[in-house]
Amino acid sequence: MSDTRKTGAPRTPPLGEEDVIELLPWYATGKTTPEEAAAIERSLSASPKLQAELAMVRRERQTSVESMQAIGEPSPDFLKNVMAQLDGQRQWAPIAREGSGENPGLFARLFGFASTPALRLVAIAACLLIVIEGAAIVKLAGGGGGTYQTASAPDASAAGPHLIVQFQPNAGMAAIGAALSELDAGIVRGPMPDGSYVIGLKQGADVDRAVAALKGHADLVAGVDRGS
Amino acid sequence: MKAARAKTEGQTEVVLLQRIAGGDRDAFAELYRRLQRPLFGYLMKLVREREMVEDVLNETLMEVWRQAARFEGRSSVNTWVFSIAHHRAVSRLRKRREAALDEEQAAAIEDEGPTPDVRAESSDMSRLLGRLMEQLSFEHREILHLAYYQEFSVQEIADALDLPPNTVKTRMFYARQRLKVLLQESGVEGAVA
Repeated sequence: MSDTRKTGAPRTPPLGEEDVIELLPWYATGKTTPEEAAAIERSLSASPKLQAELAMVRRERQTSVESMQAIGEPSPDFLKNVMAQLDGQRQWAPIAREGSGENPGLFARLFGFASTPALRLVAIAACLLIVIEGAAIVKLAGGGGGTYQTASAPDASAAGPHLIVQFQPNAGMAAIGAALSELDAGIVRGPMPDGSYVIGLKQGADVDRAVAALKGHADLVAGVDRGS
Repeated sequence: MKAARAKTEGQTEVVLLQRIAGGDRDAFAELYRRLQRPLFGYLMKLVREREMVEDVLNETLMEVWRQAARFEGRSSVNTWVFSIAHHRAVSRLRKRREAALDEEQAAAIEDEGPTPDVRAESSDMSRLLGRLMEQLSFEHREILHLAYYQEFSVQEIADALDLPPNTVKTRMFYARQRLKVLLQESGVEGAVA
């Protein structure tokens, strides 16, 4: 991670007192850029108020660390129990992979332009659709081979009932993935012209329950309709 | 030196995740051993009930096993796993209607809190701060923990919580402001700047 990624700021503008106060928790843990740290130190040297604020930050941090000493850890059999569950778990295949190497893969290049999670989702779903259709054509033609590994759509999900889902514009990829994974569901088509996605449930899934569960994620899901 | 060690550990975790994607159980167990303490501590801070924490941790690990091949390297493995844990915790708390554990409820807890006598006993500032931190909202406890204990950068917290970096800084600012107000209400003079 480059220094400029540490606080998400591409460059360090002049820091006002409030900016310094905002950054002090990360200054205290050494997570500011060298430029930010230098600017903070200049401000600190001239301001007793900021010095007191830093002392408070350090006290808060020490308390936070001390409070974890009594937390403990998972029970001794926890890992054994988790490992025992792995047999029943399906591992999702990667969406697509180009041959290994130093250069970014096709998908990395394609999705590099997508600056928001929602845009990335659109891009991934669009490419997924193309790859699925491409794979189907290859299968029909009885051919195969080539550079790319076929994207793996969730076969079990594709075979079950479908829902039409509209995601919130700012919904994050991790959150969408977690919500769909809870239902053992996956995106099978989209985005549609209205921006919605076709979500496949596994065969025999309780559609009412799935609709209710998705509607429960109001921060992620703007609307759910029954599909085929 | 610390940054170089973190980078090496990050690379090791990426390799472990690649092996997990291939169904390697030893790699899964190794990743668990590396992340179990920070993850368990994080979830204890958020969810608080040990039984539910183990449930959420279990769900998080299952998700790591299922989704390992879909890790795209846009954030560190550590941040990615914390992101899964965060969403699982929020989802579980929502189901239990405990996501409403906001500051109003915290105030109710606070009412049972520091009486004048207790305040005298809590002259140790760290102990008082610790008590007050527990009264903060879910979001405020979470941001303090990730910044102070896990030592996540602004960008790492933004990645884990799906937030813009500026929102991370603002949330931290308000968490600390709230803590100052609670300190002042507990009789600590000059807590609010």
